[in-house]
Parts: sequence; structure tokens; C-alpha cells
Amino acid sequence: MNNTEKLNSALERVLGVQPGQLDDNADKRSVPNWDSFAGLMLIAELEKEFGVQFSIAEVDMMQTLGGIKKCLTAHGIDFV
Amino acid sequence: MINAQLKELARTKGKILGGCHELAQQLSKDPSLQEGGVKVPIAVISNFTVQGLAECIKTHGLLFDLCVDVYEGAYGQWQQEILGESLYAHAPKVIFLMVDCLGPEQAIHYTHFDQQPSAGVWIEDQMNNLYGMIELLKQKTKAKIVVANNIQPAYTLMGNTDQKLAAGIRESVARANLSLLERFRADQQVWIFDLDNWLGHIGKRGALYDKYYYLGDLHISPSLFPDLAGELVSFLIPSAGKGKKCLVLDLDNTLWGGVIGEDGLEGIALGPTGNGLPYYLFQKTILGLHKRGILLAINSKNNENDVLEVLRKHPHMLIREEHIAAMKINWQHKADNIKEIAQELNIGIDSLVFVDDDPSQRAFMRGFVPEVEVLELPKDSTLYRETLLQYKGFEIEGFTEEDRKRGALYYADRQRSNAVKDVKNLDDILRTLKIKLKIAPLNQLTMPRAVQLTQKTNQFNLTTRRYNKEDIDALVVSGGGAWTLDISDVYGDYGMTGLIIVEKKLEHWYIDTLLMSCRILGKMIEHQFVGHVLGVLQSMAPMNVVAEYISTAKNAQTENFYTSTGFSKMENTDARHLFIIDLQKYTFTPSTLMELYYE
Repeated sequence: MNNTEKLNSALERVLGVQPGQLDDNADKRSVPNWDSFAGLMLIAELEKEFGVQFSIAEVDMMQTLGGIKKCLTAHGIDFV
Repeated sequence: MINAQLKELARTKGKILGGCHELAQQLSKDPSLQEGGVKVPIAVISNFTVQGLAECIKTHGLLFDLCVDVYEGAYGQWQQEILGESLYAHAPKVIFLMVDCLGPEQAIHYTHFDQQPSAGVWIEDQMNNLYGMIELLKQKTKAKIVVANNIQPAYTLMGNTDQKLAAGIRESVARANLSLLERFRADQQVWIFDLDNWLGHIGKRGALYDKYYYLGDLHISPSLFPDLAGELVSFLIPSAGKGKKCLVLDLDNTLWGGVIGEDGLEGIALGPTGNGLPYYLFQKTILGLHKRGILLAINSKNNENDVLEVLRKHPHMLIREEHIAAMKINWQHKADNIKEIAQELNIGIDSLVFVDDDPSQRAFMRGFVPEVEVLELPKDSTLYRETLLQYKGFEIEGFTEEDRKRGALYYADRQRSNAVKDVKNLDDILRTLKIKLKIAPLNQLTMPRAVQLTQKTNQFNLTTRRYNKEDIDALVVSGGGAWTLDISDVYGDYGMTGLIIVEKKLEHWYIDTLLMSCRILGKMIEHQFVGHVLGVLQSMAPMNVVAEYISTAKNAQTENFYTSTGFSKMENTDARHLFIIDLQKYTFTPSTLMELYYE
């Protein structure tokens, strides 16, 4: 799996959304299943999937899909 | 039993939190998916966040045919739950009580030097409160109560000096956990979940994060909930009647290293030193399970005499005949054997656990007899013991004299008439294996392995002629041919595992050598190999083909091979077993169940 596929599969598992269904502005208000626990679960999943640890400051940024990608990119994970 | 596909899904999805979450959502949308499982209502009561754990428990329950229905106590209200009514309205059979008495803050910061009472007294107070609540719970329910013990903090403020205090944190936690064990040892209703030990096994460094505590009062990283759920489910298995009773064991490369039919008594790896050690330890573990009441059976494709020799004569064999309740050593399908084992022992087929190093045998078993639990044995034999020990199916609730004696009873009972052998259609299983055959004329690159095969192969070897390079060259130069067979399937590459050498006589072809490694037998590969080569011979010269079987102590299984693949037995051949087929009338039909490549 490439990085985009890994991210999409985590989003599908946790939020129940299909790949490509979300744009970078997607957030808790626009995605019905994205509650605070799902947000937490997403962090745990991504940490495990990509083998990284997010700082609290990063977690604060991860409120939109765009923010999530940005944090992953900061850890050297690229989305082409 | 629960649908095999759903179980497989639980096995793969169950490894990650999001996967459990996804599967649990599917189940709540369509509860009929888990039909056939035993319904087990349970409750999880905790003083920290365990949101997401319920989904993991549901997923892991499926692996043991349990439909777990989880009542989740309100966040932080464990005492109110015990005092209230709604918990009991759910009628849980098991209540998990996860009360982290110290918590991530006090575990580090409750130090004896600036606080009253001292840490020891303070922890004791916490425990007494917990004990009081457990007593109350016992009055209100007959459910099994599983109490998690206290987490030893990874660090202490006092460092090494913590041990010199009158009641350091470490000692206080250790004492609290010991008192928990002692208090309930004789109590069949209350069980302890050794949370601290599990965390140690998983690694506290990856489990206890301040970040998750900060984010959501999670005392344990949620990515470990799937693993935690597997531990908790182990408490549900015995009372739901889903405990396993019997280990069904393969032999070659499972109980010892190597293949007894090829390597011989001296050649197999088994013993307290060197490369035999992993197998020796594995046997020790199996024998330990046997002593606590688990039956042992053997299910092996081998010649029985070879195996009996190991059981009786190998100096380091720990498992002996007297430990075996049922023994199936033959060339039948292991799926048929295992049914006979269940019948012979008169236990449910779903109480058997099959252990085999060969992934294709495991896939066969899953496909043919989905009721049987198939242990996912890793490739590395040093992981065998751990894999077996962490398997939860052998959980029991207490240890009895009957458990102690069971193995001996079954051994005495072993001799029984052969059960009816029912033949199965292999096709569906073969399709899932996606077997690829590569047949090629022997060349100088493949010659060394071909020579080795003629020298090592005993079991599926029709004439057992041992050759060197020059011998084979001579046969081929005379106008005959030799072909090699390479096999791979979805589980990997078996390498070169078959050889046929054909000599050209004046009026006919003669199959001088036909051999296959026993690892690939039982999948109709042998018939495809011979069939294809007959097709090649046909295109060279459509004469009769004569084949021969020369009986040895090891190759009894091949006695009827040629008649099973279209040859007729020749009459009047003195003591020789000769077979014949007419290539004028022969048509090779490639199997649709595997792919065949010819080079």
C-alpha cells in the first residue's frame, strides 16, 4: 500500500468514508462519524500505520483532513 | 458455530482498533451475521476511558464462536454502576472491573515524604474501597467478576531509593496486587486479570502514554485495545463451553526439525541443544498441556513404522506413545484423519486444535473442516512455544484430578475399529491454493538438485534408484528424457520437488524414475506431472509407456499410483510390478484447478 492508500484505509475504517469522498476541508462538522473519540482513534491508527508519534501541537492541527496530511508530511510521509 | 468467513474477517480486522470498530458496526447493522454463536452478555466497568474496547471484545469473541454483547458502564462511574440497576438489567454473565486505583498521576506523584497517609496506607485504602465494592457486586449478581490488578508505574520519583522507603510505590503496588490474589484465591466467582503483567509483555513504553491520558483520560493506549480484548475474551471461553480439549499434531518440522521419511532417526533435529532445541521446548510445552488435561493426537502423512521408531527410540523425544490418545499416521487427507480422531475420542470436532507447520495443510484444514481451530504456526520454530502458550482456547476454570488423569485414560482407550473414511472433493480447496506447476527438461543447472532428489527421496519414489550425474546423463543420452517439476502456491515456493526420467527402449518408453517430495502430495499434482510428460512423449513417439513400482520399506503409498493415473497392470511379469499405457489412445487433460507451465 502506498501512503495515500494507507491513509484512505484508516479513514474508511474509522470514519466509514470511501476514498475520495473527503476533501482537505473535511472536519468534525462535515463528517457525521467524526466525533471526538473517532478523532482519537484516527490518531492511534495513523501512529500505528505510519510508525510515528504525533505531538500534542500536531494533534491540535489534525482537525481537518488537510491538517492530518500536513502533520504526516512533517513526519516525512509524502502524498503524491 | 459462527460463519467461517466472518471468523476470518475477525482474525484479520481484529488486529487493529479501526478494524474492530468497522466490524462491530457491521454486526450491529446486521446481527444475523453472527448466527450460530453462543450469546454472552458481559459488562465493562471502569474508572478510566475504555471507549472502543467493547468493539474489540466483540470482534475477538467471534474467534471462539461467541456473540458478545457488551454493556459499557458510564464514564468514570464505576461505583454508581455497581450501586445502580441498569448493569444488572443487562444480565451480564461476566463483569470486567477495570479500576486503576493509582492512575497515571498518583502512580508517580503519591510519594510518602510529603503526603499523609503514606503511599502504602493510601493504596491500601484504595484497595479496601475496591474490595467493598466487589462484595456489594457479589451480593447483587452471580456473574463472574474479573478484576484487573494495579499497574506498576514505569518510573518512580524516588528512583532506586523507592525500595528503601517504609512503603515505596513499587512495594505498595506489589503488595496490593498480592493481596488481591490472596483474597480471592478460593473464590470461584472472582478472578484476577493480571493487567500489569500483560502491559509488561506488550511493553509499557508503547502502552502508557501521557498523551492519551491528556487527550481522553485513556490510561492505556487505545491502539492496544485489540490485544487487550483478546486477553479479556479468554475469561469468557470456559463457561461458554468453547474451551478446546485436544491438540492434533503434525510431526515433520512441527515436533522435530526435518522429515523422518527422508532424514531418518539420526537425521531429524530434536534435543536439548543446537537446532533441535526449539522443537524440544515445543514438545515440553505440549507435554505440559497434556499433564494438565489436554488430549494429544497425531495426524501425519508418514509411514507409521518410521514414526513409531521415533516415538519409541529417539533419545530426546518427550512425547511418547503413552501420551497419545489417537494416532493417524497414513497417506489419507488430514481432514479425513481429523474427523476420525474426533469420532474415536468421542469429542466435538470443534474442540480440536490442529498444529501443522505447513501453511497449505492449514488452509486445507480450514477449508474442509472449518470447525477445527487451526493454530497459525509461524515459520520460525523458536516461536512455536510462544504461539501455543498464548493461545486462549485451553483456558479452564480450575484444575481437577480428572484433568490430571485424562491423558492416561484416553491412551488406554485408543484401540478402536477404523472409522468410515469419507472421500471429499478437493476442488474448492485447490482453487484457493492457486498451485503453479513448472515442468522443464532437466538441464545442467538443475542437475545437482535432481541428483539429490534421487538420493534423498524415499516415500513417493516408485523405483528408488539412487543416481549420480553420470547415471542420469547416460539414461538421457540414449534417446530418453528427464523432466523436473517446480511447485509454488499462494504460500510460497516449494522449489524443485519432482523428477521423472524416461528411457527409450526399442518398442516402448520405460519410466525409470518417478519421484516427488512428500510436501506436495495429496493435491493431484503428481497426476498432472505424469500426465503432461506422457503428452510430451506422445509428441516425440506415440509408443506404449511401461512403468514400474519397486516396493521398499518406505514407498508403500505409491503402490497403486500408476493404476490411479490411467495405466493398466501388466500380467505375467514374474515378481515385477509393471504397468502400461498406450500413447496412441492417450489424451492429456490439464487440470483447471492449477496452472501448468512447460519450458
